Amino acid sequence: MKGSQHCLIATVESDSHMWNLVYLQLWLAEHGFNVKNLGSCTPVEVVLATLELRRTQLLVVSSVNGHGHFQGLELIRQVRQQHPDLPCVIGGKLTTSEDQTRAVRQELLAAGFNEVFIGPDAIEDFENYLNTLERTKPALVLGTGTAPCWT
Amino acid sequence: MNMTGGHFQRFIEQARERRELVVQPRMGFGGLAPMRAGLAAVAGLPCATIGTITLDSYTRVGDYQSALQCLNSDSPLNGFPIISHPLEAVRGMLDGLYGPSFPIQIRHGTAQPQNVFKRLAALGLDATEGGPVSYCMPYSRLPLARAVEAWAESCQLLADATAHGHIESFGGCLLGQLCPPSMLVAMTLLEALFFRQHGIRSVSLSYAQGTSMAQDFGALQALRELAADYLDGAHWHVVVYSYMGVFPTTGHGARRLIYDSARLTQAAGCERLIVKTVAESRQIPSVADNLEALTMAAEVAAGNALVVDPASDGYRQEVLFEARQLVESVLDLHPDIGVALLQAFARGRLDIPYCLHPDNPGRATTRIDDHGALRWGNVGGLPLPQSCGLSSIGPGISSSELFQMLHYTVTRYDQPLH
Repeated sequence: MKGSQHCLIATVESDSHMWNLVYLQLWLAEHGFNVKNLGSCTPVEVVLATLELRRTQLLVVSSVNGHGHFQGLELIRQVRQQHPDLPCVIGGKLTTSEDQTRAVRQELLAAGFNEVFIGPDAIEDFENYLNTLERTKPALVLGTGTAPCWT
Repeated sequence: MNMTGGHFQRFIEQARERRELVVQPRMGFGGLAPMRAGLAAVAGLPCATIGTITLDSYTRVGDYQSALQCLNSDSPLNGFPIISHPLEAVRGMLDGLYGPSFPIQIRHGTAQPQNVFKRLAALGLDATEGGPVSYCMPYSRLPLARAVEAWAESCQLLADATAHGHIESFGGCLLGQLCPPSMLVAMTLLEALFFRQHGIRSVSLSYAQGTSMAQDFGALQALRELAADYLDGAHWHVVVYSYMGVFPTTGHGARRLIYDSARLTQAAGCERLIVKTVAESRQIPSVADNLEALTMAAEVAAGNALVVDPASDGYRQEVLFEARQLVESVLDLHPDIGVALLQAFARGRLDIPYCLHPDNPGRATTRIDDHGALRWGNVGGLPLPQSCGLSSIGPGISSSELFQMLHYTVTRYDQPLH
């Protein structure tokens, strides 16, 4: 059970899309995560500062504006300097075409992302990945949710 | 209605007298030649069109240097860098095109638009769009207080430069989809009142097509009634946006949705329509895609009138009641509308469903009901009776429900025709 696992949702700084982040917030909460959603156009410094302040077991970067590839690389390079072992994943429409996105997948993995979720099976792949995380459950951390109460 | 005003306002008023719908694309190119060619093609259509110059994303965030680098290296831009091109070159681009028979609106998406406004005043252009809330909360991280300050200054800049400045509030399009109509109507009215308070005499109110024709028709009637009350004495008109959410992928689905937006706009007596294209779900539309969509929308609007669903009157009354409650509750907070807007968000009297901006209360939700209408799921702290919400004590929104709502329109319109 992941009731105490903290997850941070972010996007890249140029991406003002919001619905993908809202959907993931609900979806990750349904999968037992305590979610902090940094919202659209997330500056790298805000991601780093939040990781410093708040114990996090999973960083989820979602981008759909086609610039997620370049800015995602920059983000993960900086995150990895401070957090070499934090599970970090990225997904969405990361380039301007699906073919290109498949081509940059390796680059994103090499730069430090644990997984890259693209294409029609992205959510299913993400779900399978979460199941692998369960086995390496970190120590229990108590905390209050920061998600807006959309009830 | 007096017939003063700039090119933009006069063009709308003349078309209104002829009962002709004005259609307008979204369009922006990096280079001067393609931008002029796009505008010229729109101007050449036989229907009543207004030209659009959509700015690029670097200019939107004030990064004029990057836009300039793109121009110098022939790298593509996703819009027209109006500040990075030399002023004289932009004047030349507009020369012979822009005028009383072809007004042009600058669309920019900027939370802090002072430089853009200075530029359009220097170019002799008179029309733009946006708003302190509608260009801040859904698209940026800028604190709302700073956007309010920037928009007050920008309105004043335009008002000082020309007596004919026209600003369209984008407040009727919050997050593009899944916002109950009463909030869209209230927000666009509040932003229009804000523009007026800062010296802009000519305004338009926006409304994004939702999920139900009957509800949209009722909401547009309510918007017009409220606008006549709140904005009496100077020019106002209503601009409708073809559906802004996930767009149909089939040709027939996309055409039918654009067709419905045009019939809706015409039937509700609204003056202007921002048109989407059939290519929308696949790529940034070409000039040809835009010409096809504009022509189709104008033809539909000139054709047989929409048969109005009797259910629309119930929606009209509901939106009238809720939007008036929201507007009055905000105006009661402070005589300075900018301050009132800030206090309203801080106290939860305004709340944009699912908006993640740090200044948004984030308690209100939307649901689509059994009739396909957008309703409050939970009204949060909004000054509305709990009975306006469907689920004040029910379960929250699940991710699968949100997904279905986001795809409600595309699913309905992409269904095969029998």
